[in-house]
Amino acid sequence: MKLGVIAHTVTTALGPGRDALWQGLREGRSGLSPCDFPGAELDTWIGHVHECEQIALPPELAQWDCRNNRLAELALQQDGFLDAVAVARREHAPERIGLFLGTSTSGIGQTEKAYAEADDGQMPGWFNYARSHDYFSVSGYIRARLGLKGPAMTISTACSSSAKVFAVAARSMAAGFCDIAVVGGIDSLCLTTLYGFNSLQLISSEPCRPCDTRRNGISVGEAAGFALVVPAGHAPQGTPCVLGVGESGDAHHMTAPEPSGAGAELAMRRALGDAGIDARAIGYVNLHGTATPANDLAEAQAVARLFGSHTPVSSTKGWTGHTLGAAGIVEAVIGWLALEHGWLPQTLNTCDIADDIHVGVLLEGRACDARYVLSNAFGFGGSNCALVLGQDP
Amino acid sequence: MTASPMSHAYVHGVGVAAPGLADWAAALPVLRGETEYRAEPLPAFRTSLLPRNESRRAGAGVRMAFRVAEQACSLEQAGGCATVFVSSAGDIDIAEALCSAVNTPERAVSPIRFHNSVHNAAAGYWSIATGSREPSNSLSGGMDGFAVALCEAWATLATSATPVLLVCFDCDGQGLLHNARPDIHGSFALALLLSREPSGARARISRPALTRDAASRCVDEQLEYFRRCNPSARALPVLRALAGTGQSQVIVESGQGNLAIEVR
Repeated sequence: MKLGVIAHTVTTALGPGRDALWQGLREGRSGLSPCDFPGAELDTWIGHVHECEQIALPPELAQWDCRNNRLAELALQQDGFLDAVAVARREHAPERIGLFLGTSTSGIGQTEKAYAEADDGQMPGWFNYARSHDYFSVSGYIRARLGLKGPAMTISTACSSSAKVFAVAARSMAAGFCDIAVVGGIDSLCLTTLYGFNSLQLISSEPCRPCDTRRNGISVGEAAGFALVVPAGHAPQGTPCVLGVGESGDAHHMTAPEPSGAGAELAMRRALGDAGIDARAIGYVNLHGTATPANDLAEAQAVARLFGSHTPVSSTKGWTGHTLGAAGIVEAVIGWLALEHGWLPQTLNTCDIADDIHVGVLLEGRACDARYVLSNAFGFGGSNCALVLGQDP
Repeated sequence: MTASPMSHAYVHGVGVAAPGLADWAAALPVLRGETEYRAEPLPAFRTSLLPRNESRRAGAGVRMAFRVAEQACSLEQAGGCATVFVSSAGDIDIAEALCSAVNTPERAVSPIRFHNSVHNAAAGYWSIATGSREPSNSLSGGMDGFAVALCEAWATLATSATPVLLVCFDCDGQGLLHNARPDIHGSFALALLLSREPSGARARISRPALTRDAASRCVDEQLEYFRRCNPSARALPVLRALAGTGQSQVIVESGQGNLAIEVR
């Protein structure tokens, strides 16, 4: 089922809301900064949403407090998203509004803090596992915050999580479980993620440079984004759309991609098949492009087999960092912005494309007349998801 | 929204694991009420689908998921299945080890623990073990995980050509985090292999439908306690119906609205 996007918003290290992201992209200004996350003494750059430190949850929902839910709250307040949900609630029974949110680490940061205060084998009294760290926490919070009563679940497939939310919403509607849905992705900075990627030797000491000869790892970022989606036929003309979704597994390794990119290619082929369009119709590919040597090479091979070396492609991780479970929604929004403005962002920080990467990596932003965009999101465990995005079905 | 949503699905395989319910064959007489439930510890299990070291390090959650998934389908079937995994918290002991490590002066996080901490670890290992490249999802629905995942498995089956393996697991831990999570009790896992193909099926189930009716309960007090306190154990009334011979109506408890299912 094709989805029409009635409202969408995103908050990244470039600031709250879509305009902050788009202005950064147009001005070639990165949201990355040297790591200043409390407790993280790492020589790396991060995509830190500093506004997250100034926001509080509504008092009646204070028991859901954690950085992940604060970031979700901050994102929810941008781009008129709350108003759009209010309209949806007038037009639909709350039981018919689904909620499908992606996250990779949920509110684990709250447990990290609780451990620092653990005493005599007990967590501190303020610690509430179910409403912070549990994977369902962010869905439980947003469900209560928006007054939704339809099917609600958290999708947690590492870095493909918030691309897959579109697939879950589409099939839930096709199967008749809901008529409209809030989807999204939220992942917040935490020590587990920063030190975890550090332990795998996957973080860079510089701002990440996807597809570059000198790429040497990711810049971790945090972000949150939401979209209100309906079956495409119910959306007004000119609405951004998800025309197809493709999911696949690598069946190869927990952290390393299948080297030839076979799993990634399968996800892209399935997305094109679901959309019913030919690879030649895709005017821009937003790569997963994490900037690790292995990931970018595998993805580039898969993209080259499908799209050749002329279709413009870029990774936008140099602006936002790798926002993990939020990457899918962040990059879907970038795809819609590119279509709306007729302009494609470059692969920031990249200047010397690696010799073995044979795809059309953009080193400068440029105008385009693309009608369709393909956006990739791949995660640990070999979880792949590709989206075909457009305007109007 | 569609004119005629899929009205039935067929159950081709079942797996279960919990104290006193070592596997589906052992669970049948208990679920039918022929023998008394006794919460005996689960016997040791080792999957043959993963190398021994990898299986040990993968953690208790992954092993529970494999334990029930291997009962519900053969390796050959698994290779062509989409999967839906659901667990409220995944493996809380791995989360505990990470949160503890980042609070030490060295902050020495184990890279293996880190990659095994992803919620889709079980799904990833299963895909590697079975060679399946079919779509796979990993979910959390809190206490309502079984109902939520049953609907996602249903929707996946209704919109794809492959059978769907549904795997639910919620496991105990051993540390501070376990103690700080009193609302989830014990370890329980189950798997259902669902298909649109009637031929060779064990049972037919109807489309889950919202109902205001009260949830089905377990007759045995210990099992009923399990059902109330473990998200995966909320499936017990469905398992009881699958163990029986006749037709029965089951109401699955969910805070998002109870679901009525007819099992035949």
